[in-house]
Amino acid sequence: MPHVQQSGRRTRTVLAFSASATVIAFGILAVVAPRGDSAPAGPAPSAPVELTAGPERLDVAPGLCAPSTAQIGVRSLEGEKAYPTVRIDAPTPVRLSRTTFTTYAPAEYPALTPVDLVVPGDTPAGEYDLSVQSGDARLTIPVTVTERGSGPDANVARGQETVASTVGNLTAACGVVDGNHTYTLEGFNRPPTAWADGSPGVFPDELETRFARPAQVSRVVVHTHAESRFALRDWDVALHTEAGWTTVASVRGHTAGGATSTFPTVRADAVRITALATNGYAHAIVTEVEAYGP
Amino acid sequence: MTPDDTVEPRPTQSQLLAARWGRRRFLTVSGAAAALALGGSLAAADTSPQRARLPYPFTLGVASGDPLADGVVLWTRLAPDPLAMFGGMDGRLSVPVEWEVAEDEAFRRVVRRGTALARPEFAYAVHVDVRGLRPSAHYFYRFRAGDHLSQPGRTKTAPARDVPASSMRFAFVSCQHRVVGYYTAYQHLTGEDLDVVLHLGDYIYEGADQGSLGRGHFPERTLLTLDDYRARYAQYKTDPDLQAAHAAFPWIVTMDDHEVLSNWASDYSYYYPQEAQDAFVVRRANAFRAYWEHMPLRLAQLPAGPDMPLHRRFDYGGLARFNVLDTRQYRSDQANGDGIKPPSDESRDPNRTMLGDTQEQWLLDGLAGSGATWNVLAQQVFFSQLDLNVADDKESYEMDAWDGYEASRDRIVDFVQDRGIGNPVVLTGDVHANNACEIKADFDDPDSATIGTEFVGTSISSSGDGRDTDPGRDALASQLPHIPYYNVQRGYVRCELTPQLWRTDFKVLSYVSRPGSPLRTDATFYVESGRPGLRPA
Repeated sequence: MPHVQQSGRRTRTVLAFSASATVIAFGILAVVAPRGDSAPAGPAPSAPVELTAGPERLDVAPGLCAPSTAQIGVRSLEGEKAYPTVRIDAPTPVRLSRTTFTTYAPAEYPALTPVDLVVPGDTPAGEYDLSVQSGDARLTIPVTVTERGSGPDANVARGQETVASTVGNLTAACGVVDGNHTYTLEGFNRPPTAWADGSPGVFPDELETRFARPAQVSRVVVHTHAESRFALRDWDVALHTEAGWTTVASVRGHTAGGATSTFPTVRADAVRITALATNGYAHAIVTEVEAYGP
Repeated sequence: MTPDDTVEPRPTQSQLLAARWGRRRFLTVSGAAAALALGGSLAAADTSPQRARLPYPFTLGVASGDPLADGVVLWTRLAPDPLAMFGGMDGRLSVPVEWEVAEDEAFRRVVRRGTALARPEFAYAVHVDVRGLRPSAHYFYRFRAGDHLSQPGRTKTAPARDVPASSMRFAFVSCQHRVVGYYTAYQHLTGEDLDVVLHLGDYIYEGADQGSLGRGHFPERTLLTLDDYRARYAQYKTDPDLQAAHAAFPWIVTMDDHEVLSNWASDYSYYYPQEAQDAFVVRRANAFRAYWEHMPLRLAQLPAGPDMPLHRRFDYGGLARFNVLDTRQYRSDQANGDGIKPPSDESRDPNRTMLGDTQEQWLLDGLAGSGATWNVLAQQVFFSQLDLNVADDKESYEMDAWDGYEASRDRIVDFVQDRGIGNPVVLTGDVHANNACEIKADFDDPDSATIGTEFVGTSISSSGDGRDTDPGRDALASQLPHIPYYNVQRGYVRCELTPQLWRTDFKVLSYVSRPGSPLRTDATFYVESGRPGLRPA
């Protein structure tokens, strides 16, 4: 019944539309069919294509800030210009930066589209395959979720979900848990390796990393810019415990590079760095945050 | 239309964007995207539930463009969920869209109507090339899809070629980086009485930046795929001020670099050599396709893969000829590694080209055969020499502008001078600043003849609020006698032409970092026909 009502309503409005057209039949100009009508016929979205992936299989470490990247290749198998749409299905809990995309696909070589893949920090190791489809073309990309290191030397922050109060252009919160201590901005197919806040001259700024599971923590290392003029000066380190947020260390008057804070062991599931002041630079810069047990 | 029409309330821009905004960057496939039906055969015309259930689809407004004496292109795109794949349409079935053109705002005197198919392969964009209209005439147009009627647009045809037009008014605009500013300039522009609006490029920006105004880019990545570019155009086009300006006048558009990637040149990426030419050509093809889909362009401009014939010509009676140029697609790679550099053998290589041989010859032919009073080059980058080195005895030039393509510029200047081309006027965008320039027969000799005029228009929003003057630029003034005026605020440029006189008004805003700035005329210049050079008001 709802469908019938819809149709009835449409009929009425179409009639109204025609009515105004009829009026002009009495006017000066006749209504003539258009000469150059509109949208051209193009190749179908499902033009035959060849799908490829590079690498052909992927390893991914658990952690929402530890993406692995697959380059999905699409090549047209017809001479004409093709713009196929590709869909990627991933099993739970795999998350993709794109689940579908449309691209120009040349005939001579594949168009490559990077797709980032992450899994939550507590994802069990195992096989999780992606299936890629465009029209009749199909491709499976085997994905192995690896074990996360867990010994006493393990940095429990590494690769784990990280958020910030604001994020500066060409930087990313995930840049502080990527194992890279440099200050390198986003580039071509290259994620940023550090974080800066997006509110120049305004402090404090916050950066928070959520561990895969609660862990014993007795040492937190914060790396900032290697040059004093860009380095963070004052910050607090807090851990999230069953009792809530607890400040475990305060660093003051730091000049460059980074500092280690040690404190009595705490069982925590997240670490928060509160940036309070720099050595003059308008933005707080953190290049890495590490958390270790005793 | 009549009051009893079933037209659902139009969602606001913030409602349209809010749903998407909350989403995480990583989507699970169980999200809305998974519901997309892909593949399947093309375009059985809709018969179907999609049409009956279609939510309000005219979220991106309407537009008209490329006016001729007997016709104009009408544009819209069905996008009930503008930032989603295929704008929230199913990506599989085409949908008929009715259109009509009337002489009056109430649509009582309809003179043309028809039905166009909105096809998934063009992201449900509709381009109707309406012909058989009268010259120099205002028309109103609108679309209907499913139960929904679009907002009306107003357009105007060009004058007939053989009738001497007594006057025309147009505005030119460029550079509308939405992240850093509001489109207040378009509010003011919409209130003007104009025949046409020229957009000289940087309609979108390609980056992932979010800024601090709540106008951050979607998707939050540097654009690469066709759906990336489509979503970015859709996001820009949800802006009500931009929609109103499109609905008020026909536009003639050309692209600059940010419609693809900053400072691209032919098949060279900004990221070259990290991004190889093969890979960049795919990005360029995606960018071109989305550009065509979202602009009121004719089929003649439809790109075939990475190639788009964008340069074209418009005549306004015998009064003005607009040569609309493409200074990106065919140019030599920037010399000296791009940036601001001293000239070199490389930048002065006579084989370098800004337009490519074919377009250059087309331009020269179009100038020679014009017969129009005013011969306009509507283009992107700074044409006149602009020495950016404060030291009197040193030179530094923007390698991306015509200064980096001196031989190409010289060929045009020499041609204009040798053939006595009447009243050449160059219109420019790109630099987010207003400038009025006198084009010299030899820029290195201030005493050489002035052979034409260049008006450089500031940005709609790019670079943010800006300021009236700039200390660095003031310091350059003494060595730039051929550029007597500049300003670095936001706005647009309005021009009024008669057979005797060209008038240019530089319209600027006090700010764009918040809505509502008043507009003022910062400067007015005249050019007298037959007397190249600027005459201040």
